Amino acid sequence: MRSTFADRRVNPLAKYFSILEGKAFAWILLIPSLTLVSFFIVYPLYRGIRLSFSEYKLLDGKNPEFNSLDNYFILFRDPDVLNATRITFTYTVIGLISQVLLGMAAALLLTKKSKYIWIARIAIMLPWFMPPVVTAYMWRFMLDAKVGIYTLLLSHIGIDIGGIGIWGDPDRALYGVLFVELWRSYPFFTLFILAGIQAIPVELRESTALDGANAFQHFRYITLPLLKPVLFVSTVLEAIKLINSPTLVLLMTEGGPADSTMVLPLLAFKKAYQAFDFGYSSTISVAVLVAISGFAIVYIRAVGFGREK
Amino acid sequence: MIMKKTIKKFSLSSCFINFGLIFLLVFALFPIVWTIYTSFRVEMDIIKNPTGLNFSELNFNAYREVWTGTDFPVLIKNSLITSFLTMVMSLTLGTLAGYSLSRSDFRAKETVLLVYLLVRVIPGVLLLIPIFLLMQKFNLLDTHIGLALAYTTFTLPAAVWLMKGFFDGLPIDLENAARVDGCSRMGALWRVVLPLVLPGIAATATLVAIEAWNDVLFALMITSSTDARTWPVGMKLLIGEFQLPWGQLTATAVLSLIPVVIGFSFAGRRMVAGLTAGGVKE
Repeated sequence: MRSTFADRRVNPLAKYFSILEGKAFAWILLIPSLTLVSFFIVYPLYRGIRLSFSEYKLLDGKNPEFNSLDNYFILFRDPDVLNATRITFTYTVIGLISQVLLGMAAALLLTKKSKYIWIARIAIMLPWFMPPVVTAYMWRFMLDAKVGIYTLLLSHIGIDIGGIGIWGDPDRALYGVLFVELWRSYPFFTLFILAGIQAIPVELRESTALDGANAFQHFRYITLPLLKPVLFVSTVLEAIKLINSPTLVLLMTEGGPADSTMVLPLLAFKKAYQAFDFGYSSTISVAVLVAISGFAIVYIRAVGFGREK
Repeated sequence: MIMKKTIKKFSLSSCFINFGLIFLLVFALFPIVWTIYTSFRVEMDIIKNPTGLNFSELNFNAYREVWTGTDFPVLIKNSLITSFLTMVMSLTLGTLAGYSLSRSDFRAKETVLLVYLLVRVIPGVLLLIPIFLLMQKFNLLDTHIGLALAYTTFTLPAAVWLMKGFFDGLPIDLENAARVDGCSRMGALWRVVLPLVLPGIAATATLVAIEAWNDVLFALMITSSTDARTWPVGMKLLIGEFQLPWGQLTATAVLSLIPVVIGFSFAGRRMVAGLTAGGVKE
């Protein structure tokens, strides 16, 4: 308040500069980013939804043609879409469960008090920052049927992934990709859970110990309930990532062998990138978006997040 | 008595914890170490004796081949330019928006924050086609700036949320003091606030740059020649159907990691702290 008054007295242009106060100032700072978002998100989103109701194949050389719900009728009867939905579901559920469990275990181990624990904390985050292309080909190499080091190591303990190998076997390729996804993404959960654990006062452990609780009981009745908000946020974010981003599958198997790893966004990407069927590709993506939003709402209701407010 | 008992229990389990930590470290790091080792091996040796340890014949041949025999240097340059442009745009816009959302209080604030978050829910593939058509219209296909604009839309929400978190951690009294001393609102931001959140800016910048550096989906669609093609696309194209050039592949992988490692060592700890600060709040 005082500064505004001082400005007016000293600066003859104060009246002009006072636009830069309060709410107007807040909006001025927001405008550049909101403009960009509307140009590259809101407009494309609108355009994409409209394309999903249109026939538009780039190679035909014709303009998009509105065909109302035709694409959606095709979608519901398309066996490829049904197959991809099933695979996407398996991929997301197994991916989430394995990542949460390993992420939680790692976070509990990394809470250990030690002078050098920060080195371990950063080291296990490294896979998360690896370029997906590098991760994909590195693991293709190490799980290769002929030259893979893990193939050799696993054969010593009686697991044979030689022969046609993981990447050529329709029954195992998906689990191969899931394993790599686990290696790459569980640090995300570790990061969140670790931060959550560190926010819990240490004194709580002392008082539960006085009450005779063992470490497991403390974890079950104190740590886990307190981690609920963190787990909620991180599982939602990771589920969205698993459903939406086909990068790893695209790089490792391209949906094969025999479409056994063809997740929905990859199917949409292939329709756009290889068949240039922009209309139908958009239809698949819109269906995914609707499904994600639906699941998110159900999940939020079920977990009851925000009810405390 | 009881306290003594618990302390004893803790030290018993610490053996188990150490074992678990070692397992985690091997799980996380061994693949990276093995890739680096392979990149220095002779191609014949990799094929003949794939899992062997042979330190006598290590050399830089694969790196030389990648550097002189492929487009890789050009692609790296393209990637560096695109990542830099993405970083500058995301940081400029994200800092302004984050500051605004942190310091002011208006009715639409929650909505604006939510909109930035919702952007992440939209499948990239859905936006890919309209963005492709938009870029075609404005002749931005296969250009650095076109690709960087596409990346910025995806990195901006993260930048806004992270920067808001860093600004939230800064006491508002500092700016008020600056204002009393005659600084304008913009001046207070520029002279007082920004220098104080510089570590946060560095962390956000690194994260944004790494995301642009790593992406393959958009680069695959928007670039079509070495004019703007980035290294992940080049690496994907390096893969033939049958015989994979493992030596060159691993050498490319190691080279591509250098900027990530530099960025991470520069802002790693700060970045990890910033990521969790934004997520756990509320």
